Amino acid sequence: MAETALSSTNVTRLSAPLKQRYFWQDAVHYIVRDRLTMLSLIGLVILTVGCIVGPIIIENVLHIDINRTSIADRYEFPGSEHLLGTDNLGRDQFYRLIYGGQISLGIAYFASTLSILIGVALGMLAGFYGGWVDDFLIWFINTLESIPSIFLLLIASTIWSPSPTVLIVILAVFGWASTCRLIRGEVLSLRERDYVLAARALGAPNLRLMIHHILPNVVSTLIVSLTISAGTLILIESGLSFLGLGVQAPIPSWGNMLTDSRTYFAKGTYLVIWPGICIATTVLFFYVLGDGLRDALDPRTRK
Amino acid sequence: MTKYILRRLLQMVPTIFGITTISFLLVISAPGDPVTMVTFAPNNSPESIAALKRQLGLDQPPLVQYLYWLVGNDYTRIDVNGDGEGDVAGARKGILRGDLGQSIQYKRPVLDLIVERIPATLQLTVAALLVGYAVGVPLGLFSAINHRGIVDQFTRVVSVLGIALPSFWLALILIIIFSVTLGWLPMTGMRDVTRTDSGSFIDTIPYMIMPVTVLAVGTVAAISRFVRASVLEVLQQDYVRTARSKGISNNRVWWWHVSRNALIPVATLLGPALGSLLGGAVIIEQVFSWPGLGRLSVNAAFQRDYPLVMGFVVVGGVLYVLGVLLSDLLYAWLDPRIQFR
Repeated sequence: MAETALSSTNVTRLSAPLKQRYFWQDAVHYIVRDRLTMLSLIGLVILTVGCIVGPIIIENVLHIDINRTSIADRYEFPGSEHLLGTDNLGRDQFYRLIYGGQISLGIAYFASTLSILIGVALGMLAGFYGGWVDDFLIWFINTLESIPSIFLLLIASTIWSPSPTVLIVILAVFGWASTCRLIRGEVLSLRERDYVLAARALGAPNLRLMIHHILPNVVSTLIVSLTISAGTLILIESGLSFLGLGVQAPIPSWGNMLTDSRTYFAKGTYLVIWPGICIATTVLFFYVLGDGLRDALDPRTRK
Repeated sequence: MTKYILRRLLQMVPTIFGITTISFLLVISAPGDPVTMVTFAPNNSPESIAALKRQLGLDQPPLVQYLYWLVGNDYTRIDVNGDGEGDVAGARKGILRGDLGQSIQYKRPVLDLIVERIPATLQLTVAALLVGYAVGVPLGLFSAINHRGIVDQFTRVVSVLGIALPSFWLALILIIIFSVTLGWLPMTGMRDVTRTDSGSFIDTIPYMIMPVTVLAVGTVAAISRFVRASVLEVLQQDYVRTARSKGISNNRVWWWHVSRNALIPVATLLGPALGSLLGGAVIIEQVFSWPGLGRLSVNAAFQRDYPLVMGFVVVGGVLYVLGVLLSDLLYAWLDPRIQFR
């Protein structure tokens, strides 16, 4: 009698101060306290909203055509009329940066989402079924990763002249390999877990096992991958566009705004600086956010 | 060891087969008629176009075209006039025998064009690799010794920036500072264009400084991160604790027990680093007008010179696979604990 009373007080004493928190609440709680990650997240939200809303304002409120060239206004120094100056064709750099951001960020978001979808789907299949499916996929990934991706992108953008939409598809089709490898590795160990066996014993079909029992466990990897790959894609897209093989003029992107930079060297250094700062900060935000999310979503790596 | 090398060489075969397949599939999926694209002659008669197609093997099904590309067609006779009988012997040897086809733009063998440009690109990438190791390894070591200290924070900032800064932008900024403003370094090219002789390696050094710096930034970032993580991991090992508990001096533990073990895995970075430098060189050579593979490949892409672009995919892939093989062998040779299974 005394024994049961003792154990029940123990139980109440233990459970009382511990507020139960679910995994996601816990993760959010952790991120909110991580200043650098929050800063990146807020920065990205501001950039994204600015690049979505900005062009609408420029077109509908200010009635400015950002592609209109004006020889009289060439190389105007940053000032009250043109916040960041004008380029070699007399176009306002600030407005073009906002438009370029819409293109560059849009490509990064859509292409990384698409590449993650491909990577997760194939990685789940390979990890879950194993056998020849896995062998084939690993061979394919090894092959894809052994070609310097810039050559593949060169050949692809040679074949299909890239509009932003085509570019999204090209970047996704060549960018899913590393995510796929990550997801496959996790699924490989997840499918051996007891709860998967239990679900299988209860008669759950493979599709249900994959979607209800394995997928939720790779979501954190997926989110981190998505963030990091968005950053990487900004870099790749800007590189391609800089070469003139990505987004085609007159559509601005942060990369192709620097394509003709050689002609600005003498007259407008300010034209070279800003697109690069936009690219670098955005990539930095994505990478820091990715690192922070990795820590928040994986309790083992928390400092 | 010989067995291990042979096995690794055999493992390369499916990968290289895959590389050729991907590059062929990409080109064959290109929209538009290859002949009009190849010859740029819209006024040709349908008969002559058909003959040209037969001569180039474009009338064959894709699988046969692939085989021709891979192993050549010099063992068959081509039916040029379409009467069902072979007229001339095929001219292609196939990429397995080193024939990557003819460049459309230059009307020369693709392999010759690529081989000509390799030294210039290697000069940049190898120099960047050396700088990357020479700066990255000490930086990583010191940041691990100084864990969470000032050097460590500095290294982490450098490594994040090294990855996040777009290389071409960094190159432009360097040009503006050191060529346009200060006038210390030549802006572009590989050597003085006014000279008639080709000059020596020494003459190219001023031209190399900026491109090599830009290329090396990413490598330094990657290597210092790797070294830092590797050292911090080795520090957790039991044998380090044993060494310390035996009373061995801190310096000796560091240089004798920790660094030696922590630096061996750095060899595995050699292959991937060379691959990413090769990719990075494509953009950097364009910025600095460096006459290497990168400029040739971007040019080929602009001119829709499919055979040349395909050649780049194949050569780039094979170089990468060889680089990885080399770094794996180096790793196995350096670390006796690796078993050649």
